[in-house]
Amino acid sequence: MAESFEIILSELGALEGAFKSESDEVKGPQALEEIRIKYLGRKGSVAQYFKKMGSVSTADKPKLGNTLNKLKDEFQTEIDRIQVSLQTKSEDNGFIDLTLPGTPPQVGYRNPLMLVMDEIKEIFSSMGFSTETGPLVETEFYNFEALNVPADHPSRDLQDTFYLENDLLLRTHTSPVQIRTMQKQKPPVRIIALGRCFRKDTPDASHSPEFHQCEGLVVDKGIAFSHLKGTLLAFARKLFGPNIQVRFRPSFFPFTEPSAEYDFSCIICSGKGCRTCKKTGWLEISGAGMVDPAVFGYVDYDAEIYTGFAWGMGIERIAMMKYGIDDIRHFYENDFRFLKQF
Amino acid sequence: MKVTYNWLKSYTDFDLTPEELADSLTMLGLEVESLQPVSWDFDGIIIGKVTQKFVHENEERLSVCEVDIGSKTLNIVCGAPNVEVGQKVPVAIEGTRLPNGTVIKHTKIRGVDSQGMICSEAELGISSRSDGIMVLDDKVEFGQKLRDALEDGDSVIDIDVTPNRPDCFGIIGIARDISALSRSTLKKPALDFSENGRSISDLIKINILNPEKCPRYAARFVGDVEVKPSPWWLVQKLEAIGIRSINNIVDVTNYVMMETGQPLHAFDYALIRGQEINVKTAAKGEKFTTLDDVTHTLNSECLMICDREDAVAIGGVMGGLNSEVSDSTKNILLEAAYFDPVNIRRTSKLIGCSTEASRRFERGVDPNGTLFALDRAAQLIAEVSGGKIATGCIDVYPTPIRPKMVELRSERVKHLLGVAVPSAEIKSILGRLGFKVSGEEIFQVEVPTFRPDVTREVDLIEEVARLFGYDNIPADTTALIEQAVSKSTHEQCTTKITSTLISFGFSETVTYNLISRKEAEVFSSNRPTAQVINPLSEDLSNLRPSLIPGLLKTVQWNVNRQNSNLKLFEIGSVFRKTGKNIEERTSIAGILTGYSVENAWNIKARNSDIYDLKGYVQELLARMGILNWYFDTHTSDFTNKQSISVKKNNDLLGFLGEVKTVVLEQFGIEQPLFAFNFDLEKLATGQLQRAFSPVPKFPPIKRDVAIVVDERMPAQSLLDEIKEKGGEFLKNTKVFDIFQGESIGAEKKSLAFNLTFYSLERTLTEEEVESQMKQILEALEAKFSAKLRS
Repeated sequence: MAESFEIILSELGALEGAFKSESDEVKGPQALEEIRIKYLGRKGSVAQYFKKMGSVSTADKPKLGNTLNKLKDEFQTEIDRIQVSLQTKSEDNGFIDLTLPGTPPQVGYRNPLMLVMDEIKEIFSSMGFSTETGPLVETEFYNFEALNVPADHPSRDLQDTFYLENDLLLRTHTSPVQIRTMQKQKPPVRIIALGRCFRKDTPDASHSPEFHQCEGLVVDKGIAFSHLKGTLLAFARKLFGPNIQVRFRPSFFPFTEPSAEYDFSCIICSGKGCRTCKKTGWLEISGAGMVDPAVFGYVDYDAEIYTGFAWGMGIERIAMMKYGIDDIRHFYENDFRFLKQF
Repeated sequence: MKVTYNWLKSYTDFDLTPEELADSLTMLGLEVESLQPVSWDFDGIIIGKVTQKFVHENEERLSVCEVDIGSKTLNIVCGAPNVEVGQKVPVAIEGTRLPNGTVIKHTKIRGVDSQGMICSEAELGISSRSDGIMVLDDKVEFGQKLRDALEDGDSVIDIDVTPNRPDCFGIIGIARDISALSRSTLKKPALDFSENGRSISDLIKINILNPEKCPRYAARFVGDVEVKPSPWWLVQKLEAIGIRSINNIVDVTNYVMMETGQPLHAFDYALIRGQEINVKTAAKGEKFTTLDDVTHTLNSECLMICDREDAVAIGGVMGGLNSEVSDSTKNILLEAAYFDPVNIRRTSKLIGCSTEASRRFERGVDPNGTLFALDRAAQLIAEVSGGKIATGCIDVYPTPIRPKMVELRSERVKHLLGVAVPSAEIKSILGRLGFKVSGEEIFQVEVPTFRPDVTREVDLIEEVARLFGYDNIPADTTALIEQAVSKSTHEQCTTKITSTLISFGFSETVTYNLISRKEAEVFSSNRPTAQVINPLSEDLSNLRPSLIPGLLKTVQWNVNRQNSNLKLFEIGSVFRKTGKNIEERTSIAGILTGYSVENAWNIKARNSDIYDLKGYVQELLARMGILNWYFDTHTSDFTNKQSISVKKNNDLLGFLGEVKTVVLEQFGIEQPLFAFNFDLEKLATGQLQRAFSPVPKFPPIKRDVAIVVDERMPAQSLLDEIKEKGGEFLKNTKVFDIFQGESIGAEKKSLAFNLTFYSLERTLTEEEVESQMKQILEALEAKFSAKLRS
């Protein structure tokens, strides 16, 4: 006679209840294994019910099969869960002091000046500028004459120069690289030059006899002052964020005409006026302008056909703005407590 | 260059507050460095009116005055000869501290009560005049504070005038720019004076012997002057812009110079011998004493103003002590000239003397502004000194300098600025700045001689841009292009070294190229070092021959601040003299000192040593893709015997070693220090782009072996031999232990090696490896008498 499917179902309900109460009580892995064998073993309770498949009606067979499979999965899942929780419990036995400090990795730090130089290079590189270099020991020709700074001209006083023997000098700006680049290549020119410069300034919080500049030069047909403004605005926004404004003021440099000083809106107060910007809302950056035709004369570019712009900027100034550093001497002291911050 | 707001406003009637004016000037290219209210430090000074004056009962040179200061009347003893009843005078009341530090007390002077002091200009710190009390304008009200009476809300504006704008070294020049901007009229002061009929040509003869150095020399004669303190209006104007008041004559020449930018000089006519002026160059080595009582030695380039006998001034720089205007001067010879800018600059540099006059002449004054300034000064001198102006002026100007004509294309303005400025606007701007413009689209522009900086079309375009406003030129980014820019080998190499060393735990330093001679010499390998001729100090007098001294200074700095465990590097230029030239190369150097591993709760500290550095260097060379390099012996002036060189094909790439204690002591370092140094270009020869080599798929077989050899046997010899005899499957050999002790015998050491064998094609058999091991050990025994450690 076929066993009543309903009776089997009710028995299975009881079995499930027994499994739950027994598994809840489990204290260790051995007890858990015993439960597993009791319910899911080859001769376990679930297997016993699978044997009853033959004694139910044909119509109830699939239903019973389904129910038993579900039950089997349910038991297995519960046993797995208990096993993981028992393992975790055993690992947590014993005192582990996680408040002890971690082992510091051995890492080096970068000088922020170099970080900023790399960032500037990266920005201009993304705008199509390649990087040129030049010597620190320069001649009067490259440092002054070819930049339209004649001897016996008051504009030489703008830069106090260190002289070496045999008419050599330490470059006072990166501008000689402009001349060296234009001498070796024809337009279009699109370069930046970064590096060390020297001026006879007594060191203090804002002066250093050695400092770094970034110089830029673009020469091509149809280059105008408006392009200079666009380029430096794009640069400023990549470096300091999309809200930076750039202001150009007329100025004088022997190697540019028209010449400009350019300022960034104060990054501290966003141009509203604060102590850093001396209430003006602007931070002076450096000089720029359209390449003076006299300079083109020295490198044999036809000033009627080609025009160009150039600019300079002090890396220390940018780095000081960027990190809020208040004394230029920090860059050259290399105090580990300073370097460690970068 | 300082100006006051009111002074500027007297030449052009702009409608701007001082702050707006300062902004406008800055945006015109006349950068304002500061804007400050004119303020006088007159604490405790009250304006009093002298109501009575008696002769002091005990001292007839003193007066006893009753002075009404509004709130009360004070009794004051006064020694000044010029005090009179009815005068309005500055009174320092009891308790006042004067600029010279004197504190005014209620006192008795020769038996008579004195309740304050009537002050001179010197006592108030206004000027150096101390020969009488300061007499104020009769219109001022007495009883009020002196400060309130003098301050009229004026502001001092300090402008950084660029070297190309000599015209703005005169206030009228600045006013011209402002008038052009604000479209207000420029009002130059009117000339209005009378001449006394005595012809100047009877009084003085002028010859220019070097017209190329002095293209123009003009003079006027003012007779019967009374040299005395300047009137208050003049004192106040000069003092406000930082010029000390001297006397009425000198003050006028300074005033007119500040106004027009044309320096002037007043000679005491009585001291001009022979009634003649000869403008000529000095004799080489000639000595001359200027009115500041400094004696200069001149050369034959220097232009002198001479009388019949001798020099009376260095042309364009400073007058002589021998012809200076003094209190007894009665007649004035007034000079206004135009000197060659380059020659003035040379002279000024030669004698180390830069004056208000030389600064103007060397930038270029207006050669056609001479007579206006001369007449203006003559008029003012006559006004403030009671002098009489002789009829006519001498004006030696053999080759007049004419205004230049420059062509300006309207199209070129747009081409260079990137914005179309209408032709009418171009014309208007240039006109307002004093240029004469004719033509349409292509303009013929006459450049006034007060603008020597404008000589080319591009200079005119700058003038247009200045007045058009840089702010009104658009920002155009179309000159920027997105394109891949390839980096130079040098750049790639620098980046690679930096990132490698940072990953090793080295920190990047930036030190000066300039170091002291003493520091340079230690590292120069006995070669002459490159020296600065005009150093800031001995500490910064030589170009570094090596990066190591800078790193040692950095170590000293940090050790002094209790950071003594350091790993530092720098990439930078180093220099050496090669004949007349200076060779410049890029170096990379690093140092290691203190603990390589610091003490921590779970780590035992360990001192850094040469092997740490060797490991870093080996890995650096590998990362730089340098192949076939080798270590070799090394000696240098600054490293001890723990030092080795790195070579390739017999070429020195660099070295590493321990720095000598004597060298460290020189830098105040008392702990062992290891340094390495490489030439960057030589590291840049490696293959940065690496080729892949397959990762083994089959398991390796490892063998440990300890052998005993003579204690002086170099490990490298054993390693080389193991490699040689290890066969194709020996891929790696490590030294993992060194032991010395009685158990292995005296003067012996045991070296333990760990050998790894594998094949890329198959799993090796134990037998294969055993047979290879046997060959290795036999070879080691045969060659080095190495015994297996039992």
